[in-house]
Amino acid sequence: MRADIERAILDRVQEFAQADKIWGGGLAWRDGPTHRSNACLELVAPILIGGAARSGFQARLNARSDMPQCDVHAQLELWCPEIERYLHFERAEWRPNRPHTNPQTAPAGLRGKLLQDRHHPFRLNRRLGISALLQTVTLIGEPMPPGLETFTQFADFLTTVWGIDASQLPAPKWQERLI
Amino acid sequence: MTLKPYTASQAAEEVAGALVSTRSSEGTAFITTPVTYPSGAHSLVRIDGMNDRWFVSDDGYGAQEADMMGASTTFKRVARIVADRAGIGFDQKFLFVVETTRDELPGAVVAVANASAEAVRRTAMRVEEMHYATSRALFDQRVETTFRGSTIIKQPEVLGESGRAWEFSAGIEREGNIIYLLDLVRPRPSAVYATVSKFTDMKPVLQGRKGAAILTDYDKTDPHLVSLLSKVVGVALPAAAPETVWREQLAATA
Repeated sequence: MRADIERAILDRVQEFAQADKIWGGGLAWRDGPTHRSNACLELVAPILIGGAARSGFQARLNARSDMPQCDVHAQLELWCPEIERYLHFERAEWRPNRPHTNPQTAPAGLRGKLLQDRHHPFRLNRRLGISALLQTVTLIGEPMPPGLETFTQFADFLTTVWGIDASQLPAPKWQERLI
Repeated sequence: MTLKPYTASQAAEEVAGALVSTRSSEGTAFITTPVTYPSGAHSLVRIDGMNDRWFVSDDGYGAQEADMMGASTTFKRVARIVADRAGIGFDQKFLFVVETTRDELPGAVVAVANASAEAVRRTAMRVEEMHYATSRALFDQRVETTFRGSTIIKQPEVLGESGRAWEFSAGIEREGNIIYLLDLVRPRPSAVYATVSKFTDMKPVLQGRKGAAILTDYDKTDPHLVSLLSKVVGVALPAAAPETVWREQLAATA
């Protein structure tokens, strides 16, 4: 039964990942959670499929106000009532401060690869099961296409992989002072 | 023309260069370490200071990893324990931080990187301890989907053969009569006994079936009691079962 439940959840995530999507509003950056650094910025926006909001589907982006034009994390999130947690997928990290190392379970060509700009598509991570959706195992990533120099270009990339018009995403409110 | 061999020494240098890198500006520097968080992202350590006084921190990246897992609350609890054991601080902004001298700087960097990664690893283990324990909301959603088009009565009171009125979690009504009953059952034996009592007191209403016992946590329910429920009620299945399973199992009425 557990395997059946897990398969149904993964099928549902795939359906959401592949669907055509539109924003449901809320496209604005705000200060991150109070427990985080003062520099933390966050954008959480609901996403509609077929004109309706379903299962708490949303996008979450994180950035740092003190690091312009870099270190932006983005992912899609879907509420999973079966385990009463959000599932996270299609994570992308643009010009991150930290590299990522792929697991040895990744397909040939990506195995053990050290990545900077990266995308963790659901199609590569489904094999890792629900743990990949909870981000409790090492995710499999692939490099983003080269030449994503600005946030606008990163948003264009999200448009392609998320199936939503991400050009509507505003750039984070970066400060002048750089680290 | 012969190619120059790629030596072990060159390989080692290349690997070290790929795994450890630094970046700095105006009294602040970042060191990327080979230590990784569960997601595969590398731990980054920030150092601020000058001469013999340095502040070393994970710059909140451990907290960010926990946020991305949706596990900030767990992280907060776990991280304090990890920081205490490592002899370093954990502040209100969820940063692992330590003040150190120049001589102790390398050790402090290692300690902060390890502590931050360890706290996220422990957080991930807690997150992994998930149960298909389900809420009333999931039960209601599955009932709605399975019995779409039927009249669903929430928490109906139904008179048993003994003359006692029993409350069930949901009932399906047709032409003014409740024709199918569902009861949400928690894993405690007493909850199972209550559902067994209710259904024992009911007459079969549809094709010899009375209804369904829906288990909030199948894995935690004694298998013998699951068997007893299925015998008395007709069918017992986990609330978290896929919608297709609900429809197949409750097909007699759905």
